[in-house]
Amino acid sequence: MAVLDPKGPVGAQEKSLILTAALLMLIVIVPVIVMAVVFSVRYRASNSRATYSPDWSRSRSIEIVVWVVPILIVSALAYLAWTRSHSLDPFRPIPSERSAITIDVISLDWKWLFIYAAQNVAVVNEVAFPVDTPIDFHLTSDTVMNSFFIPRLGSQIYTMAGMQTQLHLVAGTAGTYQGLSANFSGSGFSGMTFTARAMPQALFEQWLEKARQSTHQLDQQSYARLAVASENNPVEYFRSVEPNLFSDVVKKYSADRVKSAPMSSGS
Amino acid sequence: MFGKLSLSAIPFDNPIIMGAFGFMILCVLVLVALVTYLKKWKWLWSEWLTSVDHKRIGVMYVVVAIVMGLRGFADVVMMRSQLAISSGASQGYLPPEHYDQIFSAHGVIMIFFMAMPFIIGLMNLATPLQIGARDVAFPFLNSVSFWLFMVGVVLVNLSLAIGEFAKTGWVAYPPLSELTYSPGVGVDYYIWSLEIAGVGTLLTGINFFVTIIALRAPGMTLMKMPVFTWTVLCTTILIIAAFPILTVVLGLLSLDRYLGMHFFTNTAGGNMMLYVNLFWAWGHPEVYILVLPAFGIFSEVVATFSGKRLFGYTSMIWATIAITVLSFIVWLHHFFTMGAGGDVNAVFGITTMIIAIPTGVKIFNWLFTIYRGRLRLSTPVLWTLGFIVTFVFGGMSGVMLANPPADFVLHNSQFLIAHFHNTIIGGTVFGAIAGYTYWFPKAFGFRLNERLGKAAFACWFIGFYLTFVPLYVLGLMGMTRRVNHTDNPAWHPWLLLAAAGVAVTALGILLLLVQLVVSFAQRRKNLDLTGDPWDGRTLEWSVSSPPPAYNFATIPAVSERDAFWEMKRRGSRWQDTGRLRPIHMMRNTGAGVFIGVFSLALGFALIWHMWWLAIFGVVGVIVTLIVQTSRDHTDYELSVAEIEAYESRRSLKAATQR
Repeated sequence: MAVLDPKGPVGAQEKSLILTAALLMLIVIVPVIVMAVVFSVRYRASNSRATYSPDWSRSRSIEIVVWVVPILIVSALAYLAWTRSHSLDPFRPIPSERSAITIDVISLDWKWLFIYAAQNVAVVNEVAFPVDTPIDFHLTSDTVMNSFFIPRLGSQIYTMAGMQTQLHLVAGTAGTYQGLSANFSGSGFSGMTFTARAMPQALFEQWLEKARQSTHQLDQQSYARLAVASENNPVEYFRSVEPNLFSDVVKKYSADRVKSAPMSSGS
Repeated sequence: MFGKLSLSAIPFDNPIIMGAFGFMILCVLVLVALVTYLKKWKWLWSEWLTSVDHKRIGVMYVVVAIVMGLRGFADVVMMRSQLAISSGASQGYLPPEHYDQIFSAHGVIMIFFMAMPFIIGLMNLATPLQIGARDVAFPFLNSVSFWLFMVGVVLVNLSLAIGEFAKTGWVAYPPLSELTYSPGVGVDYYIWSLEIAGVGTLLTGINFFVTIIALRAPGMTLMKMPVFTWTVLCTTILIIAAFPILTVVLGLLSLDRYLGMHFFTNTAGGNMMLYVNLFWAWGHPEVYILVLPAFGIFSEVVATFSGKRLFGYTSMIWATIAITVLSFIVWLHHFFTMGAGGDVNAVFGITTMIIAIPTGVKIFNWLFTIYRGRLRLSTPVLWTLGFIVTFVFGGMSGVMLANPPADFVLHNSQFLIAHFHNTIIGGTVFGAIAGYTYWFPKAFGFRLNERLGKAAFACWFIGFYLTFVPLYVLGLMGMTRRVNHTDNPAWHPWLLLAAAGVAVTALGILLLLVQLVVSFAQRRKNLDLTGDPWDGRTLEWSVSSPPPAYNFATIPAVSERDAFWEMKRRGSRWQDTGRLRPIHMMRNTGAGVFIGVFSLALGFALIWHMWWLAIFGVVGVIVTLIVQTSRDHTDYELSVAEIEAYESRRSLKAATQR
């Protein structure tokens, strides 16, 4: 189970939250189910030996228990929600000895474009990164809203046109993980998947080299062709990327906003 | 003349759609033929369609809810069979163009045209009777509400064959639902069916709010009201506060689509986040609109069949009020993944979890009502017990999803699908069926077959777990919602299991329909002549089944909770106290039907850009309203002799049974 078998610290903390919440809730659920069964058997109409008190309808002690126990459980969960919402905020950089790698992500109809601006390469529907290195995803959309999600690594985040969201992840184990859009975006949605490859630094360098062998370049024209709606796209590499392509895509929509300050939904 | 409408709008080349539409037309034709053969047109028109009687309107709501539930379930069968087949190389039989319409229609139909009318129907049937009123505050408005709701139903069904339905999911998030990405009429069908039906719902909310506040029997203070009435009161508050938001947000979307405005577009300063916020500012209260009355039904059922006062009435009421208030400050939990910061996410996560507290209290109160009671394990009780054990898991997954970082990996997944079906089916649907079984004898004068009811419950209960446990698992495996094809072989067995669950649920639905037919055929065996088949506690059981048009010959005086139970204890079983007086009654009127027909013309015209027809529809509605309000004879008086004649017939019947 992808979510319960995370391959990075973000996913691991989220998994433990899920399990903690489930266990805390069981404190209420187990007694409820036991009481539902025991009471309905014991106080069934045919059992005339059981006590019958038709007017008994209040008990201060029971009412205190049924209010206080849920309040305590929810308080514990609320504490976790407050602290983890901050520590696992997708916009928050992950502390690490290694410096983060920045990857720009654009959701298109119906594929994912990954831009490595510093390395000057780009890929469609495949993203690679070194293990144990924090990844700083900058995301936007050049179409409708999508959600960028690699279940094995943890958090997802929406991509929205004219806005830039951020997501920090790190892979703890090398491997190939499925990535997808988790927000319905139209007829090609089901095929809008990508492969995420976490690999040792050396292999990552080789992977970049492979991308650089491509004959394609990502400039305005080829981007315009890429942006045309298409389904089930194969992986495609670009050996170079026009500078500022990502910010141009963001600005394309925000340029005609009143007071054209680029909007980040995280601010 | 016909705007965008032409013959090419009808998908003649799609055998599934044409088959389904053909079947629908066949059903309508059979119905028409049957009514004609039985010479029942006049009866249908004057006794039912034009009725302003809350009981009749309630029954019509429930009938439509059941029919639309079957349609929504047909969508389920198609979706789950598609997903069971389309794994790996197989693409299944439903291409995205069709599949996307199916899941959108499924959501819209089940929420707006199955769950809502089922709950509103039961509200109509029971609320005025529970508070000792002769009808709702505005009977004619009630009829208008029903027919506006019917416009939505008809539009959604028309979209099946004339044009298309939205391919956006039931939430219709822009920019996907904007003209750029959804140029067809599907989203317009969505907008106008919900806009028009939504006005009907809003009017119902106002109507029942006023009814409960103003028309309670003397002595019935707020804290002596039956719990179901309390939940209806809270639901009407939610409707009044929330539905205008939906009306506005869909109105803004229509301005984008029709007049080229930019509220939610990608370009020119539009912002889709505004839509998402507004949609859920309505959408979250909406789930409590659906589930609070179900909680009320369970409260009535559990107290009645335990032969015991409801445990912790005051707690129960305050829990309901707390949920009502809290439901307005949790909407952001539907999009923690939008990228709001930790503070915002945490606050909404915590408010969401807090709702679990009053809900948990309610569960314990039901359990302690059974404690030291004499529980009769009738069908409504089975649905209630099934609800208690099922709903707690929905609560558990809900609290898991409420934690923002946990939601980051579960959002929009099959886990979420399992969660909200767990609460809506386990809560609202189980509650609606419990209420349907519980009040059926009140509406029709005979009980439903118990054995078939229990068998249906068993199938539903097993079918539910068989369908949704796999979906919980698939969500944890990383499967997202709204896909029509999967590539992961590990998911396939779970998808097959979920499909099997649908088959078991289908059997449950079939058994409910068989129960209806068999119970009707054997009605003489199960007649309810006393009006009190379950040894009830609240005032609806003090009148005959079905009740007379005027409900109460004399308005009962209330001094305690469980008013009828107390009357029976004191031996004043029939409300023969007080002298009969003539009763002021409303005449049935066709105006509601006509307003519906003109609104339908308006909606259809707006969808297809037939502006002359739209103007005709608006003028028609206004003229109908003017004519109706200026008519003199909208009411009449029922004489004492007529009331006495009815009441003595009824006492005789009751006496023969005892």
